[in-house]
Amino acid sequence: MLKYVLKRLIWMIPIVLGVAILVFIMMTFCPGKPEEIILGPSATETELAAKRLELGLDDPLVLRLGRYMSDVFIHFDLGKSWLTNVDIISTIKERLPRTLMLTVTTLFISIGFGIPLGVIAAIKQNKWQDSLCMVLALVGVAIPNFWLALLLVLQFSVKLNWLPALGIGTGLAGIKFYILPAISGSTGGLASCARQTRSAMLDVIRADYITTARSKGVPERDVIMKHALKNSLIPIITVMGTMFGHFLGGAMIIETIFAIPGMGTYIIGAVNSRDYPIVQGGSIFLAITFSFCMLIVDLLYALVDPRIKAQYASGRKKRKVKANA
Amino acid sequence: MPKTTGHAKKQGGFATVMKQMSKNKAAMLGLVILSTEIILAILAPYIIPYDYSFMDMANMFAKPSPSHLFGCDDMGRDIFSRVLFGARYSISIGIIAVAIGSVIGCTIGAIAGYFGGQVDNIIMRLLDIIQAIPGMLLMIVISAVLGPGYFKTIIALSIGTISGMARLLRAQMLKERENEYIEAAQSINCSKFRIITSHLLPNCISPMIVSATMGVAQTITLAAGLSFIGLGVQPPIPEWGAMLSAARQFIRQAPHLVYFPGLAIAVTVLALNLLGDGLRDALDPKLKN
Amino acid sequence: MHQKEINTDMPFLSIKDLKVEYKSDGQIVHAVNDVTLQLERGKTLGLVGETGAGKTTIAKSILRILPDVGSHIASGEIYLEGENLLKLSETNMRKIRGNKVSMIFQDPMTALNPVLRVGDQIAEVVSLHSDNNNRAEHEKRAKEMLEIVGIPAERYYAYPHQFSGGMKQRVVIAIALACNPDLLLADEPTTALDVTIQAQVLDLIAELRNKYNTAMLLITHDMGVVAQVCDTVAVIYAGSIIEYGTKQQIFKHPSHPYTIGLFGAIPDMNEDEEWLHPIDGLPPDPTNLPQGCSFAPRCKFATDACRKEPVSMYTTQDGHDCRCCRIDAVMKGED
Repeated sequence: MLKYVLKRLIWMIPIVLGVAILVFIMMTFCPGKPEEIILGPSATETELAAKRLELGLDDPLVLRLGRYMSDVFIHFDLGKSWLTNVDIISTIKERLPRTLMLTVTTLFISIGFGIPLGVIAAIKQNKWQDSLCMVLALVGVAIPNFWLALLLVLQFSVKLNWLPALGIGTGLAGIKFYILPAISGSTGGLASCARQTRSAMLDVIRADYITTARSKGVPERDVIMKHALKNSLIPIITVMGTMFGHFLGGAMIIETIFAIPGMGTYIIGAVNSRDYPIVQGGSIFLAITFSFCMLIVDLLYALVDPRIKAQYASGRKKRKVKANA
Repeated sequence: MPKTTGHAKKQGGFATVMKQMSKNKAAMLGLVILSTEIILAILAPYIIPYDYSFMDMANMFAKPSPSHLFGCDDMGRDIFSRVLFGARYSISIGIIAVAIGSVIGCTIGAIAGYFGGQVDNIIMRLLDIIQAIPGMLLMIVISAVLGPGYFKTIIALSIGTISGMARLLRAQMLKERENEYIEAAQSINCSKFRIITSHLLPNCISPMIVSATMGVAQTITLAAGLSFIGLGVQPPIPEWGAMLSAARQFIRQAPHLVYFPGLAIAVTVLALNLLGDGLRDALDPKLKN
Repeated sequence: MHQKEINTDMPFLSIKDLKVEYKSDGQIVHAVNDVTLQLERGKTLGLVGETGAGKTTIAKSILRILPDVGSHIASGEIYLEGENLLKLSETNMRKIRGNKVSMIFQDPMTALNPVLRVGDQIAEVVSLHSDNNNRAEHEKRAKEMLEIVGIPAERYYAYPHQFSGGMKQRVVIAIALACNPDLLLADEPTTALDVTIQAQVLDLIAELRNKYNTAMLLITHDMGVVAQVCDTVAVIYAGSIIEYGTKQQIFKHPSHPYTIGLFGAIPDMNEDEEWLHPIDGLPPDPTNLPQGCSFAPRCKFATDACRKEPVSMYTTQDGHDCRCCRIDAVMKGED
């Protein structure tokens, strides 16, 4: 298993490098000249030219790319913001935990409510509980989370004043700042999770080993929780992986609405102010975070299903397909 | 050469699928809502009560009333007209972006799935790199490069659709490729191009259609999201996301600015999802719950 | 008949007029129609019939583990040691499942839970029916059972996917016998296995049955298995018992045209035959059973009387039951 983890980590390297290259190249096509952005509108021609020279902006693309790659991956230096000249990595260190906090809370809400809803819908298939859960799921997927965020703010901050609309706090009291953001971000994931759980459970409940369990005299509750649910986890974990991607992406907008100083506001602010090194650095960092999460998801599979654990341990790569004929 | 039941199913397919789906009330509801929206969107310039940019400062923040169904915004513009006109942008962005993304994605996926080996490996690595960046972030970055605007947003969103479609088609191809009817076609010296287009693709289409329908829903939401943060489509075009963004500042004094554009997005996405679910159930009963 | 008291004159297992229906796509499937069977302690009843005849449904009805959605025991009684199982509360029924009555399933590949250890699945049935919470004791019993079915005890910690089909079936047997049940329902236990393994598993089942004096309801479509293991035989067709007697009676004097057809269809090892002799036609549609005898459409002895009225049980010359009104004609071979 350790071998599998190492193999995956090594696989991550070319992907992260690829992301860095991709993002760097994309940023070179962005509107605006770097020296103008850094020095501002009042700079003179000479100052601009000097800056261009200093940053090596007239060097061929490959050289600039090489310099950037070596900065990032050898010296772990993501550069400095063009506008504030603040070191990017240190800002990321401050902001990333907040984004992670938001994303993880959203994940917990989605799974915490999604799985039970799905189990109930499956057990009471075709009865009113099933229909209700599925309608809620459909609605949950359809409501855009930035709209929900605004509606929640309207109801709970403006009208009722129960929860704060903006910013973050410290320590345990700070949790209340994440509640509305997490709820608004979670509806899509909750709905997906519920649907996936329901569909997986329905398949599993028809399986022969469930009949075996019943024939042993296992009480129905244990049949569902111990035998059925554990076997349903695989598709649920799969959905969790895609959900995490959506949450990380969705966090961009949610943070903007709730003025949470995390990676989302950092990157979006940088896009709007053309502070491209931040966009580059932030994207690379988020890509790394996302890749790690996918690795954790794959490891979760092994935890849940011994057949997959065996597959990993034997070194068989899931995706390898031999060209046939 | 024997045609498998898979291929025979496609012939007379559309009518059978439609018949199967007509039994599904939810899916038909989705279809009706969607069709209504599309028709209204097409007719919008002729049926809106007020021009979408017509400002009537006397009616600033007017609440919903018979003369202004959804009320007026901060510049006295009729929200109902704006939402209706905005449908043209949101829905068209969704459909066009997914159409372009699907065609390109399917081509890539077909090549990867059919040829396998090194070709497949390289394509998959490239898709891995693109997909390592979370969806919304990728859209933001691409939009940053291209800038805001209707067509640029379509391009950005179609790029986003490509990798998902490519992966899906590749997976389908890999499954179908192992079937005997492909071996049969190869044995009569059928060209690779023909095998892919006439034999494999028709049998891989069903999940693609479902995915495309859901994709349109997702794309509309993404487009609205992009507009919301200042990329995407910007004012004065009454794109739903942009309208929500403008409404944010006035949330305390005029909440009705927030309700209607968001509701429009939700209803459209719901209709598309119902339709997509119905298509999935009708096209492959095995996938049904 | 004092139905409320436990009647010790009754056979160990007595099924009376069992009727089970399934609902599918708005239609009613008549899976089991007025089945009456008996079984004595320690004896083995072979339930023979083709796929879809209703054999598994009967077994699952005894344990009351028919699928919740769509299935339904319409009428009848199932007495185990005088107690009507169909009237028991779910809590009491659970005490019987796995404990007094247990089942071996047809497909070993899917009968075990893939994410739980093999030993734990045996220990589960032990712990469900023991009065203490001693995990170590339950594990010990599970390991004992593994040894009894011929699997080394250290394989307790393995997962099902690490076992072959034959080994999986042994685990299923271990689970079924762990609590020394009085009645074992074996649903085609060897059908899904290779021929060589079939013999081993059958021997194992027979050995354990003899050792613990377990009564057994053996479902099969293989007459060879019946000959080897059973004491009495019931032949089932389209959800009804059409012939019922001791093994000797059925094998020596099969009286129902269907039973005769079944024996006739077995290829003779000693003769040089060019063609197999199947029974012409197909079993009836269970949603639309014929009005009279359900075998009549395929029967060359059928008369109008057969087709009009449902047939009751008649007694043959050697004293066993046969649901055919033309047994004399059949015996003489007259059409």
